[in-house]
Amino acid sequence: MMPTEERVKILRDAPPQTWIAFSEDESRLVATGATYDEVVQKAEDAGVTDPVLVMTPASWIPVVLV
Amino acid sequence: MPILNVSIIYKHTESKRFEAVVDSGAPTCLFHGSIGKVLGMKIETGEEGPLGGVVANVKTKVYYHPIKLKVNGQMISIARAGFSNDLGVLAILGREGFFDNYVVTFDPCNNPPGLIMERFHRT
Repeated sequence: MMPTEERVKILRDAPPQTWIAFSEDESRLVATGATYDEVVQKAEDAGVTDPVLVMTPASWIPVVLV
Repeated sequence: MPILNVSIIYKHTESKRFEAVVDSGAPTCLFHGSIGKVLGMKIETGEEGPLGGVVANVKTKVYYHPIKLKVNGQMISIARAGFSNDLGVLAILGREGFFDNYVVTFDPCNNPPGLIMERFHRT
């Protein structure tokens, strides 16, 4: 797994509501995309068939989830 | 935030793994509508319910569907998983569907903070 600081930077640098694919072991960024389908296709094109997906939020304001 | 990588299965179609926030304050498991949509789910055909949070007077709708949740290779059937396009995160694992299947200990001391889960089975 990549260092937390590196992962946070990737997420923070991405535009809002961007889909991000990390490798199976989350050690590297594999692809980004505007939709689930796009990022999954790009990940598969890069040889990663079991990515871990994240979607960046619309904004980075602190939230309380209930 | 405590995060788990999960996938969901809807009518025999499984999603890729994605991040889900582990939230004991959430009454149910909630998922972003885009995840359901890629699995062929027609979100708004589900049982409709209100969805709100700690900010007063902010409400939207959530639609419940039966799914299977896959966590660490284990499968959990969730009769009512909520789907909403207005969810601010990809997924929230709440009391109905997740915490009624796992004993969870939050461990904030590690970097990154983690959690310890133990599956239990009701008799």
